[in-house]
Amino acid sequence: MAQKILFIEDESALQKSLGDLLREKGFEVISAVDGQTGLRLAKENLPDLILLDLILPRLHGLELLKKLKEDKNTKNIPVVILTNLENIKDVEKAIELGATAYLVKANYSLEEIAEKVKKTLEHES
Amino acid sequence: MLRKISKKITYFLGCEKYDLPLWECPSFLFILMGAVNILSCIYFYLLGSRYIEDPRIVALGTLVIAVIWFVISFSITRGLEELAQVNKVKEEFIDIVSHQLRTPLTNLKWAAEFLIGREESTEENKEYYSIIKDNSQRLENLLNDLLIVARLRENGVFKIQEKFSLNELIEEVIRSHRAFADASNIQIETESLEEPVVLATNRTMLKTVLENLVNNAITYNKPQGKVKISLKREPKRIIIAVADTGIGISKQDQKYLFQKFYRGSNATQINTRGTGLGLYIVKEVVKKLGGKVWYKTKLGKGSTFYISLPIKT
Repeated sequence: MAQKILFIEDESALQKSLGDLLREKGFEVISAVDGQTGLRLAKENLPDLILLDLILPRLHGLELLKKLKEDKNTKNIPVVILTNLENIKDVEKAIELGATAYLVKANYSLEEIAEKVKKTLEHES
Repeated sequence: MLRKISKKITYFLGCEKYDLPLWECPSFLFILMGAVNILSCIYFYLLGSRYIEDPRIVALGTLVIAVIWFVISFSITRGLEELAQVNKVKEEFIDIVSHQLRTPLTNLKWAAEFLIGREESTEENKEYYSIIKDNSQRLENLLNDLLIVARLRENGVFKIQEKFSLNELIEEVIRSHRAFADASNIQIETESLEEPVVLATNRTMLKTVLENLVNNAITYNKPQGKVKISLKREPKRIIIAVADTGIGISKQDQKYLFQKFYRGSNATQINTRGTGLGLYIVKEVVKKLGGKVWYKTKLGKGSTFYISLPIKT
């Protein structure tokens, strides 16, 4: 069965390119374009991995991460932060809250992100 | 314990809004100067009462000293407070720029990359998608360089450390420059990369350094030239060397090589696109990572840039 990835990102262009690439790589991708929908879909679907942007409408990524880690059903799901913010405070906060990795979008190509997703899933399983 | 007390005072004085350590916080410095003011007044009073008979003159002198000290401390801390505010605004501006400008560029780059990878895309289409991807990458690199320069004074970003394989990082950098090297007819070689080296430092910053060096080694090379990346392990440090068979650097240019925005006279003839920030970033970033940069060069024959980085065990 295909591994499930929840991709929480408000940029529709990124949803399309990375989402489509991950689908081509054989993953099942569920998309959310705001924080609250992301939280709801995470609880409903219990994905194998969550790709999470930080600047999100309705619920900030770090708040969402905190809520995910507080819930016993979602706390063990690996969360990879995918953002263009690289402020030390955000990085520290995300790691403190339990994010598995913190990736700055501008530093990676699509293939590299897909590779990181694959490696994280291999590592977690 | 000391850190806890300092944290409490920082909070009490409202220093955290400037994101500065206690000894750089304007309100703390004002209190410190106030304490010095009181001490100097007491000292003057004691000294004055011993040598000056009229107590009114002693009191007046003490008052004058207190007022002068107060005005000086107030002006200094006011200036520092304004500087701290400007610095805070600058940081917020950098955050906005890094997010709002980079996001559309990432959108463009990834969309083009996705299309290039599609089997249905024709060769001609792929060529055009590559133009979109390469140019968004170019803009992104320029933006990254400017952001790094703006952040060099902040220590925060350099605190982000992770353990990673240096060999893999070098291979990643070579991979991302392969197409550029092939198009420029330059061969990239590696040496002594067999023994794995694990570093604990800021990977993104080190990647930027290596990218700048490899990019320069290809750009300022000669046709059919070579770029060689090698590693040398010493007990406490690792030395990375990036050698090229390119145009070299003249004695005149060597003096200014690591200066911000400086570009060598022969470099501007070959490549009009450079910003003159690459080697400045290399030097400053390596310094922040606790290492050193040096080079050997021969005009018309090529250059080798060396970086040493500490190995933390």
